[in-house]
Amino acid sequence: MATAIVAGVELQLDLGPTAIPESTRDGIPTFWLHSSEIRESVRKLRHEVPHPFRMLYDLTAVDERARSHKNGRPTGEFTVVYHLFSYERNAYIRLKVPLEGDKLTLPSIVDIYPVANWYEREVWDMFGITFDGHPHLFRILMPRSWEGHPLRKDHPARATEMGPFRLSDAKLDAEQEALRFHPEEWGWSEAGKTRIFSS
Amino acid sequence: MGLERGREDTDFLFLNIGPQHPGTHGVLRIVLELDGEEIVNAIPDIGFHHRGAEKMAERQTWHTYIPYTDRIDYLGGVMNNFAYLTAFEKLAGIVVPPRGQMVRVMMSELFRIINHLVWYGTFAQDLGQMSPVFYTFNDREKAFGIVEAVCGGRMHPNWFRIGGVAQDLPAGWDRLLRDFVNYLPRRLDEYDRTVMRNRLFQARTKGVGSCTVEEAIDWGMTGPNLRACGFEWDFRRKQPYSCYGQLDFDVPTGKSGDCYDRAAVRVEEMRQSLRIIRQCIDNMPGGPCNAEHPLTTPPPKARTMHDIETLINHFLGVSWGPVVPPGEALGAIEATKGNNGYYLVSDGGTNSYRTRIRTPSFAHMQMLPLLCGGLMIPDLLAILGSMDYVLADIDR
Repeated sequence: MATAIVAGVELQLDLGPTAIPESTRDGIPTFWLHSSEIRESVRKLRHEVPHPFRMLYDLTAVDERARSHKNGRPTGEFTVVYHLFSYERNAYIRLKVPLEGDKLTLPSIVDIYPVANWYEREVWDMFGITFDGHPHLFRILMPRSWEGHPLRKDHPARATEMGPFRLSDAKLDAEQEALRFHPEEWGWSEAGKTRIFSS
Repeated sequence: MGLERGREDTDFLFLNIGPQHPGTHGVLRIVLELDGEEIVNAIPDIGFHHRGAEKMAERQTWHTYIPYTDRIDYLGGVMNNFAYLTAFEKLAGIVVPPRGQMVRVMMSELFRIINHLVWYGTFAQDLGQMSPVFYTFNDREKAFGIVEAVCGGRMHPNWFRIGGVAQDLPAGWDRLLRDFVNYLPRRLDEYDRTVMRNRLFQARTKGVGSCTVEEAIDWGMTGPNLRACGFEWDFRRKQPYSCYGQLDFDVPTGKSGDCYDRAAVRVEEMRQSLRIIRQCIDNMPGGPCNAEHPLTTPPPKARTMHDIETLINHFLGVSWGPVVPPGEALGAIEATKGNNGYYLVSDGGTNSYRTRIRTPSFAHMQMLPLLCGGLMIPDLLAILGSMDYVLADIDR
C-alpha cells in the first residue's frame, strides 16, 4: 500500500493543514475535515488536483453515539463519509466530517457532483442530517409520513420494539394522501399548466 | 434533475408509471411530465422495496449477515457474498487460499451469466419479443442446476463463508460446468439471431437513451452501462481482487452508450464469463478452500481436542461468531450490474457497527431523467430494460 501512502501525503497538501489523516484497514487515504472545509476540499479534488477524483463513489453517514472505541478520532455525534474515486489514479479517497447534535448540517455538493443528490437525500432520510443548498431535500427511501431517522442508533430496529401496528381509517387516508405527487415541489410548471391526471 | 418550467401554449400532462407496472421490473414509481407523448421530465420515486438491510446488519453477527447480502441484488446470488466478504476479509486481515479464490470466482461468473440471461430475456420482452425470455430462463434453469449441485441453494445460495466457501466442490462438478460451458455458446449465437440482429429490436434500441462517458462518470455509472459508453473500465481488470489477476478475459465496450450498446456489452460479457469459467475448470488448484484464521466461520477445528485454548476459541467462534478488532474497510467488486461495495465499520464487537451498501442500481436509477428526457414513453421502457437494475439493489 506504499502508493496509497504517497498519494495520501500528496493529497493532504491539497486539503490543507487542518486535515487529519486516519489509517484504515483497507489502505484508502482517509482524512478528517472540518465541516466548513468539506465543500472546498471536495471541489478541489473534483476540479483542481492533477488526475482529479471525477466520481463521487458513495456518500453516507455513521451515528457515532454508541461507539465505545474512539481511538483518538475527532469526537462528533455523527460522521458524514465521502468516498471519491479517480479513474486516472485508479484510487479512492475517503473524507470524513464530524458533526455535533445541534448542528447536523453540511453544505450540499450537488452542484459539484450531480450524483450527490440522492445520496444526500438518503443521509437526510436515514440520519436526519441536512444539506444546505440541496434542491429537493425530501425523504427518499422511507415514506414522507415516517417519524424518526432509521439508521440512528436510538431508532428501533424491529417491529416488536415499536408497539402494535394499527391502521385506522384516518391513518390510511393520511398515508394515501402522503403519496400524492405535488408537481410544484419539483419546480414542474406553473400552477395550472400541468394537468393532473389520475385514475 | 433538469427543471423544465411550463412552455408557451402547452398543457403538460402528468402521468404515474407504477408502482405496479410490468415495465418497471419491480415496485418502482416513475412520475412523468409529458408534452403530448414526449417526456419533458421524469422523477423516479423509490423506496417501495426498502427493507432496512443496512440496519439489519447492526443486529446480525458478521457471519449471520451473509444470507441477507444474497437478497440485495437478488439476481446476483453469491456475487453479493463476494462483495461483503471482500470488505470483511480486508477488515479482519484474512487471505483466502488459491482454491477458495478460484471456486469463488468460478461461481460468481456463473451468476453473472445467470443474471445476464434474466436481463436478456426480460429486455427482449420489454420490447415486445415474447419468445426469448422462455429460452433464456430455460438456460438459466440449467445453470441453477449446477448452482444447486454445488451450493445446495439456487437463487440465494448463501454459500460463501468468511475465509472461503461453505464446502468444497462436489465430485463431478467439472463435468457439470464443462457441459454448460460447451452448451451455452450455441444458444448465445441463436439469441444473436433472434434478438440482437432483429431489425425491430435494433430500431427500438439504437440511438435511444445514450449518454457520454463524462455524463456517466458524473452520475456514478459503473459496470456494463459505463463500458457501453466506450470507457474500458472493469474493476476485475483494474483492481484485480481474488484471483482475477491470473485469468485471461476481454473487457467488451460499446461506442455510443445507447440501449443497443448496453445490450451488446452484456451479451459479450456472457461469452467472457464462459471463458473465465473454462479457465477455472482447467486450472483449479488443489489444497484447502478455506483460510486457516481464527476469525473464519466455522473456525479451524483440527486441534480443538488437543489443547484447551484452541477449544475455547473454537467454542467462542461458533457461539458468538468472530470478534473483529475496531476499524473500517471498503471492499468493492465488479458485480453483475456495476460496482457493488460494502463499507464496514467495526467497534470491536461480534456485529457490525455500521454496514453501508453501495449499489450500482441506485446510481443508475438516478440517471433515468437524463437518459429519457425528450424521448417517448416506449423509449423509457427500452431504457429501463437496458439499464439492468433490480429494486432490491436500489432500495436495499
